[in-house]
Amino acid sequence: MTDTADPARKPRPVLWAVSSVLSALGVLGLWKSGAIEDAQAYILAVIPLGLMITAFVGKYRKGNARSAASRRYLGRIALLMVFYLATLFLAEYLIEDRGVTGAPAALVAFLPGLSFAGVIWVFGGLIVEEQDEFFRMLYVRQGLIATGISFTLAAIWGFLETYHVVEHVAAFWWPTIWCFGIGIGAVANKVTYGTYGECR
Amino acid sequence: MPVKNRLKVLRAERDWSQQDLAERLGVSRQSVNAIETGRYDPSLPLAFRIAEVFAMAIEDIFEKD
Repeated sequence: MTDTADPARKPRPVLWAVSSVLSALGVLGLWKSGAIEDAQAYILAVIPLGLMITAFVGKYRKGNARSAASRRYLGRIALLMVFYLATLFLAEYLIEDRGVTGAPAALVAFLPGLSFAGVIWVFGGLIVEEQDEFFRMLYVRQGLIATGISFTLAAIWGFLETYHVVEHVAAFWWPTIWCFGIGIGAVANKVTYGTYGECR
Repeated sequence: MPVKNRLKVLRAERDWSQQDLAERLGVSRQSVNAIETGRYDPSLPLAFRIAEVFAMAIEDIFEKD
């Protein structure tokens, strides 16, 4: 009889996901510094994409231990990531490389940001659809912690920027920080309630 | 108001693992663990379900700390 052992929990998908983010940053750094050309950057982008797909497949293989809501959440997030990467690539190609301007450029530039609306919708769906009340409470806490962190940092940075203490930061970093905040919320749940929950 | 419960003892008497009890309740093993360790107090519907699984009254399982 085991009380706390959870054989289904392995850190591997998390490690794949972290490797994906680090390799994406590496490729981006090489590309922006001019160390590699556009074509090479697009080819190397296969590495973080492959690692992220591996992470999602790994999470799905653990599927039997997961609730239906969290499986749907992971599937929807995967679709959103594909939408985000596709629209980002489209914007880079059409606006940066092909010089598209005006209304078409505005429309294309608008699309990658929409994926964040999707993230909020998917996270809300997780809270609504989760049947396990304890997990539901954990997800609400995660969302509040992420919102608190991202809004607070946005407000502080905004004032520092207004008074010329710091440089301007692109606004898309605040929702990005919200997504990291979900992970911080999971850690807070582990400390307070003894589990990360199923989505982090 | 802090609430104590006898979940761990009742489960041990029946030789059920946390996973066994979780499956009977239709919740996650983590939920059972959080309730047992007093980190989480279940809702009234879940408390009724727990009482039903153990065939006991709620007040025989949960009490004021």
